[in-house]
Amino acid sequence: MPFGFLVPVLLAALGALAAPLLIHLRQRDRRRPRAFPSLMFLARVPIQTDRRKRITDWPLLLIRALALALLVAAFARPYLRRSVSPEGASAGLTVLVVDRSQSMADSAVQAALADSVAALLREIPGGGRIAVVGYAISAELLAAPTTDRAIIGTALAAAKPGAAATRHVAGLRAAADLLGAEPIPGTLLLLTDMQAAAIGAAGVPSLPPGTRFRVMPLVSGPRDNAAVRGLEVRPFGTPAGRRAAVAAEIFRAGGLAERSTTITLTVDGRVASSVERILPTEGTVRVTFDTVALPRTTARLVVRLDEPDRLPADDVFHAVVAADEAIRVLLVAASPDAGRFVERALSIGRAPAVVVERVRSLDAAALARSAVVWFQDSPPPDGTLGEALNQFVEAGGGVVMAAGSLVSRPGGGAALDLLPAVVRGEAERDGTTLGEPALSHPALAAFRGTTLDPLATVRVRRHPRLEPRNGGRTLLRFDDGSAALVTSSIGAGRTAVIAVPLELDGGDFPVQASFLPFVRGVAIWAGGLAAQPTALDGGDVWRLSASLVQPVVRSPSGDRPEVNDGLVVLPAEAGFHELFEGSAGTVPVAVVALNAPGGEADLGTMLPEELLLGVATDDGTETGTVGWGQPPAAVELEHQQAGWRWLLLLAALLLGADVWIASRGWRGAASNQVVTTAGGGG
Amino acid sequence: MNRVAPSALLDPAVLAGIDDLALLSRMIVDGFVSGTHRSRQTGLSLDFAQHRVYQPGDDLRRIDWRLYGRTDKFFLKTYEAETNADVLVALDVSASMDFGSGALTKFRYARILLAALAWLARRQGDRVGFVPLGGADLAGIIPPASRHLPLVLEALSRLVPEGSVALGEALARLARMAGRTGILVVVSDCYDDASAIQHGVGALQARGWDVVLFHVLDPAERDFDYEAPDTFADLETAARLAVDPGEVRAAYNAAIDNHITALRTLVGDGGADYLPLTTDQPLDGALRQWLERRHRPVGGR
Repeated sequence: MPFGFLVPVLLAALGALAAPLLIHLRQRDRRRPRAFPSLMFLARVPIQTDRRKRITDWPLLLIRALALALLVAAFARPYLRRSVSPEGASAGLTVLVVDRSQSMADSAVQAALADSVAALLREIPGGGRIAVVGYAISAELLAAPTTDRAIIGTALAAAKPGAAATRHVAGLRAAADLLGAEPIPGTLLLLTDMQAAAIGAAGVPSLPPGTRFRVMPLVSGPRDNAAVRGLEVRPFGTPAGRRAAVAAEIFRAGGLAERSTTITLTVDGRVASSVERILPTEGTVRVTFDTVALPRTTARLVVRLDEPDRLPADDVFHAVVAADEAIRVLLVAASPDAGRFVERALSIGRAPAVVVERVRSLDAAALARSAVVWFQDSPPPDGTLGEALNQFVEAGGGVVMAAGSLVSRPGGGAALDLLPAVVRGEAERDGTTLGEPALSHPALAAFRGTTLDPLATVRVRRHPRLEPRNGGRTLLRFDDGSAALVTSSIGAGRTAVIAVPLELDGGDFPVQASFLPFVRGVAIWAGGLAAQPTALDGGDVWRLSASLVQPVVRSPSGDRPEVNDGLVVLPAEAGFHELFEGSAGTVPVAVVALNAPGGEADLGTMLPEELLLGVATDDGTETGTVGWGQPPAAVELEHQQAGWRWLLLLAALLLGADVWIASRGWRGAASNQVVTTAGGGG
Repeated sequence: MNRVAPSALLDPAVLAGIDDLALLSRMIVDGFVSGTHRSRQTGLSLDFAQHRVYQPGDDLRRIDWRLYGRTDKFFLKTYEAETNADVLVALDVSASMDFGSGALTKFRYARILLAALAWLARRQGDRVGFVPLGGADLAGIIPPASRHLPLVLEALSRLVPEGSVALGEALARLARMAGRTGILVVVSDCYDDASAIQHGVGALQARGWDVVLFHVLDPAERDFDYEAPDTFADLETAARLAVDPGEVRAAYNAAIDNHITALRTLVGDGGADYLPLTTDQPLDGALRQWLERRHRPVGGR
């Protein structure tokens, strides 16, 4: 069981242990010697003079040294940690699950992690097997179960934090898989900074029975941190060229006092604007820069806080503004009134600009000149035109069907095979809301970084029921769990089915502020431009176009992240990632920016008990915390340091034994013998 | 002081409680004598002993005129009384004598022994003197005389053991200085080479002295029965030596035994009397040794 000392400085007094030894060896001849008539005969006897430097009474010396050590330890006020160390946990596998989210980049946390790891490697018995799992939004096995401490040490040293958010369940599930393969219960030790922002991602998978689950908080209490948590870029055209209004969201939490900082915006490496603002102790500040000129081509924007704090990684935010290319959207609406809100919404805004062409029915010529076909409550065609539509999508085009009451009717015709969902009737329930938006998807990228979910204010009275198919991904749901937005990628193209009423007869969405970015986001994504999102969150995947030949991705540090067979890249490094064809050259085909999720900027901590909630305890699983890196509260330590009394008692017993032993046998005779010197008497 | 049997005063444990040396020595002798049969040798006598040839300078009053009338030669009559001798008691006053692990230190034991011997000698009619063996000269010497017993006892009472004494050299120096001869009783712990002691004793014998050497040892000094390792300090030189008694005891005992054997051989076989004593031994052995010595004529063996 690990223990510590309330007053460890007093342990320096252990140096006094040398005193009995030195006194014995060096002062031995200085004490009163035993008088003897003459050394005449003793001097003739060969004597091993080196015995002067030898210990002549080991038992007494050891007893006295031990008594002294106990006295020193008692005054240093030892305490026992209530938690159970892995040493005493079990003889099974110990899995160290290390948080690698961006918030772990805090220098104090890294120091605590290093100390805790060193303590752990000391505490776990030498023969104990250890595995290391690193996790953020996903988990990675850093070290397979081994008894080699060097491998463990290397794996832990390499477990550097990335730019992703915290998702405890990913690491815990990986650890549970490892422990489940063991014949006997093991120990799961979670090393995390207990970031409160991750509590929403908490949750513990079912652990193998008998598993000991320990959380090792690496830090406690609030931590001051400021971060650039979002960037809003509104490009607009002028006769002189493209410009943009840029606003950044600066977040701060855990501060003790307001502080001033300078926020700088750079475009393609040049400083475009700079603003000085006072940051509050807690909260968000919106900083609006002067309008900046943007190139027609893809632009790279960086917003930076000039005074880095304890977590510099989130003091920078990267964003990419796509090239100024208009998207042609073919709006297919059966009636003249249908799709007015959509048409209007798509027509607003630039960068990219959307050119809407409205038709009552689809024809091949219109299809050929469009990038996106938007069916507004109108069934897609079948037959030859339907085949053409399939080819259109395979070649990179986009098809969006906004389902309404017409296609919801039986035989409504919304059964085109390429669509990711089919409509199964209509649901009527006043006050239906939207939720669970997949903000990582480019179609909903406009809603990232917002504190409140803007889609949550939408109220729906009636909506079609969607049944996803063909691998369709649900990006938005109604509050009854049914799909509200389903997307899919087919070939080089994209398809989407929207069940959220885009007319006022089904709800109030068209008059909500979120309507315009929603419609534009879906259309732009379907058009392929938003396939290169302006900024990804750490942990998001980057899906590359299928038309690319030998795609090569270059990370900000020059590394080459792996492009898997599905043309998916999982960038981990914050900054600009460039996509090339063939080999990494100078002009990338596409650029994407990666930033840490906004929630990682809030370094407030939660209690370990909050994380442990929900862990099953009825199957023998034990939960608890271990305290390395987090000093217990002083009051708690006071309650745990009663052991000094026992140490004092033991020291007293030892000293009593010392007196008893020293007064028995030859020791007693030696000390009691008095040499009589008569002097002049008698 | 409680009444005790006179013979009990021979026990060193009893002697340790008595300070008055004169009283003590008298009580010892009384106790010793009362336990033995009186003999001629123990009392004063004026009986005729022998004739010897007149030598110039002899007292004419002591010429045996009757014998002259028969032999026409001058002879002197000598009597037993005239065999009374000068008894010089010598005490080693070196610091090494100031040691005792029991009731008595060697020095006190030696003082009592000498006082008793002096008293006994005086009781036999001998003339008693005293010489301390210590220091560079023989200052404090009390020449033998019939009335010097109180002075001898007084000197014994006031002596303090200190310094170191080379016994052989001291005895040789005494031989050179002492004019009259007689019986020399030496009490010492004999911390000197046996050959040097034999040399000193031999010098005295050459001058006509009968030497009786009492070698006094403390039991701890003789047996070296210490157990704990310790640093031992020489009482005479203050030199120190760290010793594990368990390791050196056998060799030390052998060295002591060799020393005693050498003294017995060199001194005893040379014509002197040698008696080793330990301070836990009763005094009667020493007194009996004295009487045996005194039984013999002075100057003879």
